[in-house]
Amino acid sequence: MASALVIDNRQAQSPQRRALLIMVAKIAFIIFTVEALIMLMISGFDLEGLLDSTSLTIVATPLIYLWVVRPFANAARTASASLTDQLSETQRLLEQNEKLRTALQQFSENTAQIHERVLEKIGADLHDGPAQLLTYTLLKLNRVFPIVERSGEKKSIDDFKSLNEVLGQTLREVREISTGLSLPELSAASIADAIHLAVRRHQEFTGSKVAVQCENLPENTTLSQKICAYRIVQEGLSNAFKHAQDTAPSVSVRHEAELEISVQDGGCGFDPETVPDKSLGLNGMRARVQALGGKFEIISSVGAGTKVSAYLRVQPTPVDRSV
Amino acid sequence: MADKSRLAIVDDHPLVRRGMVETLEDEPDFEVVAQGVSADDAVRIAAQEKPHLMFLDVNMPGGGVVAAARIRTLAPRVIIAMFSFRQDLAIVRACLAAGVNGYIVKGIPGSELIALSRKLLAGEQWLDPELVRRLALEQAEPE
Repeated sequence: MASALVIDNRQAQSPQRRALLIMVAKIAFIIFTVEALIMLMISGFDLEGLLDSTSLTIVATPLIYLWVVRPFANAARTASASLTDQLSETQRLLEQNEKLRTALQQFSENTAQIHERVLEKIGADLHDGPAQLLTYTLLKLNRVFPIVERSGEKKSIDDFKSLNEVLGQTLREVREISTGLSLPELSAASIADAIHLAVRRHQEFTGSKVAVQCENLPENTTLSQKICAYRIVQEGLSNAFKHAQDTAPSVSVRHEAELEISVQDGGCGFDPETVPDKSLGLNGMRARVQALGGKFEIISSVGAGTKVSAYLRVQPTPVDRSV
Repeated sequence: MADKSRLAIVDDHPLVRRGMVETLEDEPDFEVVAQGVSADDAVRIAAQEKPHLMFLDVNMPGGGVVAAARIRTLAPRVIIAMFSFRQDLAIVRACLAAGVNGYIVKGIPGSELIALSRKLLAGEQWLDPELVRRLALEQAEPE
């Protein structure tokens, strides 16, 4: 009874020890059963033989345990410890990977913001510098015109008018470049606002009609993602207008596993393999998306229209936007 | 020349102001009575100088739209013309809602600025034709 209690206590202390005891008991039972069966088959029921079997079992069981089971158990324990170590190492590497991925995404985010600030600065400089100078020049040319007109020289008058027109066109182009470079209004806008703003501006400047479909848009997109979405729509629609005869342009934005921004047209299409490496339009879109860790895809073939898509991963929680 | 039209120009870009002043003052019946660089300047000039016609920049400090709305309340008889690079319809609509009489896009020759000033002083409203086209398009095909 006391012995049983000791066994019970040990079992309670260690499940492994309990498993070992069960294994020893099983070995003893198997040895005893095999010997008893052999005995029965050879000489029938024999009490002396049965006692011999019992003695043999008592001797053989510890020996089998020591020579066979224990080395296996030790090997299994070592393998288990090694697996545990490997699992911990894998876990550590996964955590390190996640930290690196987050750091990389933050870096991309910051780089994209710096890029936008540089563009914004160029836009502001164009507005405050060349645009103002051209405005002044156009206003002042008016004072020169009567002198040219009085000369009566048709060529001088024509040259003056031509100069005036070219200067006006230059100013309009500078103004458009300046406006397109700067997007301060996106700071407080949602991703849907950014998409609709890009579409509205395109419609206003070109007079074309764009079909827009937005589904399940996330609330927590970063400023860089909104700017990226705006630029993709802006460039995609501009390409559709210039190269696809403005045929049924449409914008589709939805959020499932990723935020997908697509611009499609029903124009003449092209072979995506033929896009030159130095082409700014499509390559610029691709670089912009990849800088945010996203994917960019062009689906097009001659005569079958074009679809450009950007896929961005939206963080479950907003990230720090400071640079 | 007691009947000169009194004009005021408020724009934070000195070169633009200079070009406008020199252009407008070449006309014998125009007199630029005040210049400013901000929305506060615009409101002060409207109250103190009582110009017939004021040109306001949209992007100046304090905001041209804000200035126009305050002037319209303070001095309802002043003719207000926005003079700006901005062509966003949202800005144009805000200016119209604030009660401006004209919206001129920068880049016009001096002769046109003079002609438009005369139209506005005569009581006409004036909106850049490109803006009219885009507003009409928007009306025809709302989002």
